[in-house]
Amino acid sequence: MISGKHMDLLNARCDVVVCSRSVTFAPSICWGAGCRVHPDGRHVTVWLARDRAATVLADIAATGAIAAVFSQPYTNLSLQIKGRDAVVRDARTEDQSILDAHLDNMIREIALVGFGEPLVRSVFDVALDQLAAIDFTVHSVFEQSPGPHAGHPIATTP
Amino acid sequence: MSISLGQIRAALEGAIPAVLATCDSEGEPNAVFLSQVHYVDENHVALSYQFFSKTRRNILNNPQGQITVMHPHTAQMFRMRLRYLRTESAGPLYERMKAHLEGIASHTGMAGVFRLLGSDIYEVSELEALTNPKLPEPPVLCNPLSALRRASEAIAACSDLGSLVETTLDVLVREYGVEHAMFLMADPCGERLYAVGSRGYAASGVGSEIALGDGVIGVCAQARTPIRISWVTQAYRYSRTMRDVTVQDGQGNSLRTEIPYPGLRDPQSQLGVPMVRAGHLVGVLFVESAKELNFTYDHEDAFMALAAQVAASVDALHEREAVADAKSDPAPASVHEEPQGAALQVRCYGGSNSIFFGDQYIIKGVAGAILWRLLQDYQNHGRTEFSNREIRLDPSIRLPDVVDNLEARLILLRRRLAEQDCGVSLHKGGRGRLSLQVRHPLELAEIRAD
Repeated sequence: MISGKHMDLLNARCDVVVCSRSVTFAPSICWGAGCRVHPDGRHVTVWLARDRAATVLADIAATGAIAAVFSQPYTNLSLQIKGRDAVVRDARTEDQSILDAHLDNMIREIALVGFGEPLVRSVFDVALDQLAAIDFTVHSVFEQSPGPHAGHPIATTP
Repeated sequence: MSISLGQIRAALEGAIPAVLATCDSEGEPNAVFLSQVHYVDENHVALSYQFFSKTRRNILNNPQGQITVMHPHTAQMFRMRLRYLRTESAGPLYERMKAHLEGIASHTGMAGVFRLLGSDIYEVSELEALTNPKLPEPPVLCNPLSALRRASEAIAACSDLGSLVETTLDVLVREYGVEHAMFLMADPCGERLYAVGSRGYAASGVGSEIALGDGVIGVCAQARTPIRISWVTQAYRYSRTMRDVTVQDGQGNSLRTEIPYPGLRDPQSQLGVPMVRAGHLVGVLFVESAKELNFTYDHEDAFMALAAQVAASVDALHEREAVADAKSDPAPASVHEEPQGAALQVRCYGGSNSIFFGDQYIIKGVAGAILWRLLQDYQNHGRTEFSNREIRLDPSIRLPDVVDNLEARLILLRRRLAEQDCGVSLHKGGRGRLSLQVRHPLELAEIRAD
């Protein structure tokens, strides 16, 4: 479960990278176009561009395995959230406001490390009809910030 | 159209961190950010192994990986499928990666904290360009190969060490648009480097010294490998702030016998290339910029080629000058004009040969010993003309036997005296000769070491 102290960081300041694996344990990875930790702290949604993430989406559909790394670009503060029940769905109209807010957040946060809006839009500005959404339940959370605690578990759901 | 690893080297440098996915033997995926992906060849990359992480455990059990990287200018994303092959803990690649890591660590005051345990070598079995919109590439300002040819021709025309130093710095500025550059020579004892010329700094820093292993320049020299840092991180700046606070806490009152290092306060890109000749370190060429990503792999390739030529020229010119000095006639008796005005107090601290004009530190070491010897001869015998040969043979100066670097010391001394403008200057006389000019009466005092 995601604690309240991490909620604002994850939803307002972090980009997300999503990975999964095939049935033969070959990993796959793609940058996400948006992310949302739900208020219950137990459920997460990430959005991926379908054409860039075809393998990741196929792997999630086949295995349900997902690992999503949330990272604030300027501080490198990072968490890795893992799930085992991920499902892929189409992005919906009601997702748009979350995606718009994420894009604005990324333009602001990534400017702090010296990259302009065009680069941010190239990665995160994807039309709704080209996006897939992945919903999953938090199974475990790991510290991922650089330093001695990287990789340490923060929480695991039995 | 297929793409090659060589075409995407800019995306590997970590301006935008790469992300590596692995999977454990239970089928749990894992992702980790990487500061840099090292290009090995067209089919292989190397990742640093610094501690035993989840990723490390995963690749040892399941060698499959996938990595995504992004071009920092175009935002073009690439993805590679990898297979872990082996870990190297010795050899050129390992040394290069270790030096790169140590260069960053040393500069950020973290030397000894970042330790490379090995270079993990991966085969790249697939490389694909993703379909996100591309931004325009920045314009290419010069053709690096034709610039190298012009630079090489200019260097080949140099007939003495002084012009070689100046020409090398000039071609870096003229041909490659470098704004800040330093030419550093290695001390023959192999422990330090000292700047003999620079471009683009408020103070030239000529005579400033850097220990081997210290910062990007020192590690580049120690490992004899290029070090290029394209994106100076927040930690880099943080460390500099910490260091500044330490200096402000009272270090400034002690007697300084160091010429301040002239480097940029807030560099964003740095590149050091070693000048090596027949396995022997001659010096380092160092360039830096306040702009991010200012030096590319192409710059590194070109400057390495240039540095090899400069190193060979330094050696050849040393040899030529030593032969010329040996054949030169003794310096003629000198006639000098009577100096005017208030006396200039000159102190020489024994042991280090640190020379001060009044309270102004001038120089130390071998160059200090040379200056002291010239000033004593001037004071006691009225001499203003000297031959390189007599300096070379003077046992009190203690030039190293094998490679004495006399010409480099004299360049350093001439420039340092000219910059300080304290009323004493040194000029090249005829072949193998030096001419001393003194505008004020001198009072010499030798402070012996206890």
